[in-house]
Amino acid sequence: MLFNSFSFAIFFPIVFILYWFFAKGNLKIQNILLLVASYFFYACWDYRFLFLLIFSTLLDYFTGIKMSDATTRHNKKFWFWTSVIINLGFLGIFKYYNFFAASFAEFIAHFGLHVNIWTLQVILPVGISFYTFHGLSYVIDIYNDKIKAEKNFVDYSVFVSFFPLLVAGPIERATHLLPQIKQKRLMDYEKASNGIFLILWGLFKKIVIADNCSPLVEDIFASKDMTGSTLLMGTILFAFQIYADFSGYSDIAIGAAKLLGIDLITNFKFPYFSRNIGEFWRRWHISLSTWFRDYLYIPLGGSKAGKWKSIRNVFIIFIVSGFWHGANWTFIIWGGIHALLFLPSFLIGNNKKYQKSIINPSGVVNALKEFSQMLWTFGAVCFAWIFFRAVSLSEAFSFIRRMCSKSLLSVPKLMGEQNTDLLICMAAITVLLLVEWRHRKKEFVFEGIWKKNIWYRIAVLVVIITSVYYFTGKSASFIYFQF
Amino acid sequence: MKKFLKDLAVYLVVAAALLLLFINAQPFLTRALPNDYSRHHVIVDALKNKAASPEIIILGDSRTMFGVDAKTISNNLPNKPLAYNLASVGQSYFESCYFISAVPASTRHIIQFIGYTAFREPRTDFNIDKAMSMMMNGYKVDTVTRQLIGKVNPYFDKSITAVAFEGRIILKSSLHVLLRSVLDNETFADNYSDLYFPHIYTTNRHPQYPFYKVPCDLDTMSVNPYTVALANRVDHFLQQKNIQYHIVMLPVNPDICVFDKSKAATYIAQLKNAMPGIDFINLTGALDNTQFYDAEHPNKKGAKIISLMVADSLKSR
Repeated sequence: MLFNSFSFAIFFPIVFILYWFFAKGNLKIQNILLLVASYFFYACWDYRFLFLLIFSTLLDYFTGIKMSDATTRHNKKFWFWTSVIINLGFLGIFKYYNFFAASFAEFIAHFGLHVNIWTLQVILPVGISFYTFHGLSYVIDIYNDKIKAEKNFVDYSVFVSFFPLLVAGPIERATHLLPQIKQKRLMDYEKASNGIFLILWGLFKKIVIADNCSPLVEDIFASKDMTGSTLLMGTILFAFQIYADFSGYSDIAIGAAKLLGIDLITNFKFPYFSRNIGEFWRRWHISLSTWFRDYLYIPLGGSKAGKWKSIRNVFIIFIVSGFWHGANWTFIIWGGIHALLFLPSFLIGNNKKYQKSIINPSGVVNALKEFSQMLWTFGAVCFAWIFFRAVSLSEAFSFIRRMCSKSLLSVPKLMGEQNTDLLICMAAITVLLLVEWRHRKKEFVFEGIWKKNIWYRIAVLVVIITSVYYFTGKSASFIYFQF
Repeated sequence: MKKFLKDLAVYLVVAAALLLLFINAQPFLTRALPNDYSRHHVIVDALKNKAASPEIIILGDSRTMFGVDAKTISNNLPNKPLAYNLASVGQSYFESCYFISAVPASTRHIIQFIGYTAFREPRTDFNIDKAMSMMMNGYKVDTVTRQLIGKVNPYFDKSITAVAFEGRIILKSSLHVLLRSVLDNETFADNYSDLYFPHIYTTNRHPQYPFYKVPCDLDTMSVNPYTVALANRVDHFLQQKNIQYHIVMLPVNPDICVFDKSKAATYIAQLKNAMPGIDFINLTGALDNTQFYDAEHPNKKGAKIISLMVADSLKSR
């Protein structure tokens, strides 16, 4: 069930009505309803993997309690590692086994040895990377005595499988989401109004930008005879496609949760306005980058472990982050490139420079330096996206070689109807950038829209509905579902 | 809660009103804005027009659109009967058959132009964008068409509201048509909605002639039994209406495909045998390479020759 589908347009209002009017503020009924709705939502993808989700939930629920009840450190450690190993084991089997098996076979083939590695022909269960990380954050937090184990199974299950974030995040933390699940929820006018417009904005990003960019990007990346400038344009289009696709999904998820009275963590904060790679990662897929920071980077010693160990830690966190996206060398190289891009500012202590500030707060593009930094960061991110988008390393290198040819200086050329699609994409991307630039001081676009008068809100609604209606692109699944 | 529900009600009313407006405006927009399927507007209107009494209806794809002048045919026949060229881009034989039952009562001849491979090809249905455009332009599948075609495109069974909703993509096609006139190096004449000779080329030769290649294969010619049965059903239906059914094999560009005349004759004899009631007119070798605009489409010189040959053929029957 896609967020941009008719089935979700029917499913969500039913949940909304039952949640607020049938449950009538009864927290227990609301949570049971959320759990049933979430399992139904997940079963719509593939009911067989629902058992995996339930198993993962049960595992972390019981190991959490066992850890809390453990009387000795050794006992606690035992249950902690049981959970971690089984969770990562499932992730490994479903997501990484084939990659490791094939890589191993390739490696030993260099020594003249040929083995017939048995590979698993399994489908990747949708959302496994996301709900596994939900569960892991919970058991790690219990192990580190940050939280107590949740005794109520329904409440815990809602935390793991809350449908807006179940298949593509944001990756929530027990410290943030569980207290909200246990708290009486009342409809909040401001929250719900923000939620409606976040959903609309997310739909605009997904349907008008990502789905229109998608066929162009597909053609450009598949082509072997396009000019360098066209390939460059394809890379830029992919940068906006993946941003609009993933942040659009997050916006809809966060908006839907707000309508149910729950605040999810922000996942994107205008990342293409970043002035260096460090800032980019504080604004891009925030729930994942902070997850790795808190549960991997800091435990490894972070930046306080001495120069060389800190550099090692930077590489580990970026490469693991790349690998999290998929079992392919392209993602590992993508992570590695980001580590290399991050390293210079890390070494001179500049990486936290833009931790609080936003680009050009005065609202006028007068800071040429900041603007050029933004362009440089965007260019570097785009370069790394080539590896993320390519099917294989050889394809990525071939793409870069063809892009960096004499024809890079020519006028990009597309055929026939692609020109119309390109025009629509460019117009929609311009709208995206203008709207985001205007709202960049806020937590998200249209934050506080409830303060505006009703005619302003209706005008926004009309513009978004009209764009989504007439400029709908080729419907495609969300990119991050594959991760 | 109440305040939000009030706002929500306003948003829902606005959204519903917008959707209602868009859906109801869609047929009008499809007809009013130029798009890749604008020919359906011309075809459906011409078939519905009770005031005119065309005696000859010409059907076919873009080669027929640009390559047959209905007025030339008409002017070269006794009494100059009114003739319409109702061909459209990509109008396959199967698509043409959807219009057979709707021809006006005045019709005496239906001239169906086809490429030499038409009877070899497997049954192809036209894409849903075309079906959508036909429905938005007021076309409806009647029982006769259902009997003739057998299994009609299931899209025609959809409700008009659902089709209008999906039809919103035609707006993109309009934008594309507008952009094409700005971006394309080629300029085209504004003849797209002409009822007689919708020829859009302003020159006799494409700058990159032959522009593209088409496969040429006479050795594996066979006939598809479904298409043959369909043609025979159409012919039978038209005979009852006292309409003569002619199938014209379009000329083949000798630069693209060197036609073996004896093989072509054998193939056409095979077709005639399978469809004894239909009048086959073989124009496969009628044009030389200077009479083609590109690989497949005749230029104005070629169109004149084809039209005169068809008129002569009709006269002789």
